[in-house]
Amino acid sequence: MSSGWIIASVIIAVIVVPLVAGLLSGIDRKLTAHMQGRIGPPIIQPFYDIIKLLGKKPMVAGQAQLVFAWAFVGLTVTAVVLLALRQDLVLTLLVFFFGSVCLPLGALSVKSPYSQYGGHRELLQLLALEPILLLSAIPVSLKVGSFLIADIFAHGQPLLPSLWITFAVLLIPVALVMRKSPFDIAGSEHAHQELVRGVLTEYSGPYLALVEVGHWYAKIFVLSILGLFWVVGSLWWLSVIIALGGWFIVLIVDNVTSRLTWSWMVKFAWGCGITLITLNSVLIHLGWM
Amino acid sequence: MDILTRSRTKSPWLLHYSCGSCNGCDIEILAALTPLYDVERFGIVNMGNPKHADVLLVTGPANWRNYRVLRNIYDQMPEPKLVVVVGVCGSTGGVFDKCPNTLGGIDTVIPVDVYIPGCAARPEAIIDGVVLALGKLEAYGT
Amino acid sequence: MAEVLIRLLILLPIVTGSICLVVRKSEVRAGIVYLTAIFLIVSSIVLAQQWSLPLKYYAGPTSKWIVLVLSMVMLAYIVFVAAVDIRRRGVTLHSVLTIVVALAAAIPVAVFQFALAPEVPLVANPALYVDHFSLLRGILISVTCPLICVYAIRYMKNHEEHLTHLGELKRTRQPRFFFYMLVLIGAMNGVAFSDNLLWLAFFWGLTTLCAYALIRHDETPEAIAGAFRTLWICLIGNVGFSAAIILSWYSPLNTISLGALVSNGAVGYPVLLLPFALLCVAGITKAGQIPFHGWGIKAALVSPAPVHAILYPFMTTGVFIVLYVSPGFVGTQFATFLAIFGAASSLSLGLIAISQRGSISILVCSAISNLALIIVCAGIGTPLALTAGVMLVIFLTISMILLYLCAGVIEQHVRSNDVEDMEGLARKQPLLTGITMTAILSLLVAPFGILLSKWAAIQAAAVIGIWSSLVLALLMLSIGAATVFWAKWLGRILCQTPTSESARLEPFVPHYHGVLLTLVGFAVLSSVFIAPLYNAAIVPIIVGAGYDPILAFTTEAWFLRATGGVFAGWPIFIVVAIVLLIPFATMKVRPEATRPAFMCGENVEIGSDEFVAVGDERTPLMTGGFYIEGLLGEQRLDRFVIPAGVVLLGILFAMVAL
Repeated sequence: MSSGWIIASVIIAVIVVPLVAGLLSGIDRKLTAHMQGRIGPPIIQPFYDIIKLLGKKPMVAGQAQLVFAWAFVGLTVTAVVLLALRQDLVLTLLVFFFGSVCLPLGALSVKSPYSQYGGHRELLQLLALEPILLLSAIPVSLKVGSFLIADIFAHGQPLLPSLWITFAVLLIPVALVMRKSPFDIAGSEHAHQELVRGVLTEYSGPYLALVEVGHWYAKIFVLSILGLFWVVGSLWWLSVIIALGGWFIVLIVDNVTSRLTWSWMVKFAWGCGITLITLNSVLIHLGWM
Repeated sequence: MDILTRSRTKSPWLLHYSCGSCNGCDIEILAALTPLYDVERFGIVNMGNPKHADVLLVTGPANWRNYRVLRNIYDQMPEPKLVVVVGVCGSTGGVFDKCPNTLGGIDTVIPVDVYIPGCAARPEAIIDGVVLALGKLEAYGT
Repeated sequence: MAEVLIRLLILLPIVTGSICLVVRKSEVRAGIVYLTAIFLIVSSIVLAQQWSLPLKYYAGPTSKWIVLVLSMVMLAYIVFVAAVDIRRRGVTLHSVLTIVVALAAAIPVAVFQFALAPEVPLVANPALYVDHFSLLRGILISVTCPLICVYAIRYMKNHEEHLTHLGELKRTRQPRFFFYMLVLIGAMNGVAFSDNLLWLAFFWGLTTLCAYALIRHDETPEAIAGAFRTLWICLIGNVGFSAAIILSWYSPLNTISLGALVSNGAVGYPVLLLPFALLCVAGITKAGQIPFHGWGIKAALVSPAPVHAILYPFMTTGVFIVLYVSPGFVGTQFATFLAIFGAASSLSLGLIAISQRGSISILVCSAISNLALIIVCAGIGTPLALTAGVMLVIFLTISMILLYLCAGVIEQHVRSNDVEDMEGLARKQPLLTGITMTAILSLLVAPFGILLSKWAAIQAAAVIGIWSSLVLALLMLSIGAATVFWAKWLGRILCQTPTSESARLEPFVPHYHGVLLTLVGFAVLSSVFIAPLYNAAIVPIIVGAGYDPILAFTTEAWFLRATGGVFAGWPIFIVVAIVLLIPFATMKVRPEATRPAFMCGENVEIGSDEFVAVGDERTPLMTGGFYIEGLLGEQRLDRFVIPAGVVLLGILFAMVAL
């Protein structure tokens, strides 16, 4: 990889990603509104929200809270950059988890009833999300012969036909990172939220905006992982379509199942998700996929 | 209008606090938040937390039991913030005026930006009131 | 010079420990401990530059009888201790089992050595054999354990002052304490360096005896019960050793040299698989793996913190042997199922840890869970897996000991080891909190060494065939579980009421903070400089095991490159410094921006964590962690975990028979 390409990738990852993610989240809100028979907000609504939050007077509940908000955003951006630089998939995921664990740590650092509840539930969400994301790297590596994302690009064959089971399971972490279901952890702008937005309770104004932007990066991160299931040569738009397809499925599933709880989520992720990905690996080993 | 002010007026997040109203206005507020009126068109989202909210919707008269809570919630909202009083009780004390357990209108405890009269106030009036309050943000500056 | 130092690493702590036993003045005893510590650390540094390995030490013909007699005396002493306990407290399951297991360990070897084959030549095989791996292990022990002893000087003083204050202690027990601590160091070095299985078995038993004595240090009924449980479970290892000695002597190899067994291997000599399996069982019992995890968790409830800290390298001794002999059985079905066993053990203890409230209990569970990963690496057996295993040994030793010691200081500060009682430590002890946080993060997140090792283990496991799917699924779940219990603990100590006052650093206690900061330095520096460390310390081990190090890692711009991936460690460390370290050092919270937590408007006042409840009563806010005891409680999980462990061990032996 040339240094020019590296710099270009970093710039795209850091600057373009939040713009795309913001728009995507606007489209999400618009589509959801239409599904509920409403008109919904303008598509650029998320940017209004962020700019408004940035313009509010800062209010804080302790230093650790701020530091972990920074760390959450910084490490999530790093994970996106590693993805853009086509580094090792497992390492990239581990860095992403480091970022993800900073958010509940920030929430837990404040002695606030809602924040504490939210932080703990967020940890349980990680308990569901982490093993699935990590394990999904295994069938990929079995097909590609390496954990390097660069090698997925060099593979030349789309992964989806042989890894559709893994792809389907990956929609669970996508839903979780989009923070819509389960409702008792969710922190999205939709009506289904409990615990006054859980982990976000004690963040406000600019720091809430910061965390929100971190979520945008995280969202694009998991969607890009979906996109990796169809990278063939110069047809890059196909992977975008695959990622958006996954995103759209999650959107619909979320709108028809609005009362999922965290305990259901952990059991489902561990019971179904892990089993299915393992099954996918076994099928590849047997040469059936 | 600069981008920040525009964003502020485009994204008012609501917090609803009932100072012990008869629930008439509360029901109307919730009605205004239903898909029928679709306030998300204006970027309005209902929040459960003063730390995230921009507009405080208050119903019912200020009274000795909870003026402390009202003040606390108001203090926990980050600037710039707006207070919209919904219904006649919150505006002036209404039928509770001069009752020994009440203080009168909400403005006896915290500064109020917009009064929406009515018993109960209609959802359309509530939405209008919030949009009217947003005009005050233009004066806030950056 | 090097040979003398190697022998001193074993003998000197035993000698100075014995001196401690008779010294009554605490200052003199402390002086002896300091001198021993300095000697051990300095000789480790000297030995680290010694690369003309392997070193061999041949003992004279009489030494065989000395070791044999010492082993018999040791086992007889254990039987005696159990008999005394039966007399004093009546017949208990643990003491009876102790006698049974000790006799089962002693009688076969006695019969074999004194009657059947007195001619077994010890002289032909080296008694001590120091290759790069055992030297690394010895250095790790000799650097970290003396630090524990230095810490213990202060800790035990406080501990006994507290007990005396409570009226539970009449006369100091410290001479005995330091005796066993130091002897344990010597014995662990002995395990690391021994090659002759008789010597190995002797040192192995000696470590168990010391662990037993240290666990029952406080002499409470729970401590004594816990100690006996440890004793008989860990002595099962010695039964394994006795059987392995006889089996390998009657094998075609006609040897009782560990090195000879490993270098010949079970692929060429299938009959060696059983001795290897027995050695693995010895390792599994000592490392507290399922179904034997009970001893670790029970011991966690009863003894002082330095004991737990030193029990960690004690447990590592178990997996060290498994990893050390793993090149001997690589490529067998046994190895594959060993990996599955390890992964299952790792997940079980990870889940149990979620429901634990005691800091030491959490640490023990996570220690066992992490040590199980080393067993997984031993089972996978590729050069990369061996590298991952060695790295785990290094990094875990540093981070786990560090965390045990942190838990000890916290415990003395808050007078409880319940994680719930540690709320708000960040305000009272910011320095200690920072150290604990670093330690937890070094266990929890990439790019620190432990996650690097896990990453390497994942890379290695992915290529071993169809069973890898199961191993990896269990492994990933265990990584997920670890996130929950570490972050939960960290969350409790960071949790504090919003206030604008900045916390002031607590007074610096050299015995505590000095030792802790040294270990933090080790943990961070070894992770950052992993590439040179790998080239200097781990490559020779891979070569020594007969592999090509290119199959493990190549280093390129200090990135570790495996065949299937690249670990770009240091750039991420720079990011971590930018997003965590620098903000913690520089970010300030302005008083006027500080707001209390959201409590539905019922807050009493700023800076207070009380709220107004029913009847205008000021009620303190209480927060706590999730423990999910209904789903993941130890007792509940044990109903599944113990049978699963027994079945998996059964499968392991079935694989030997096939």
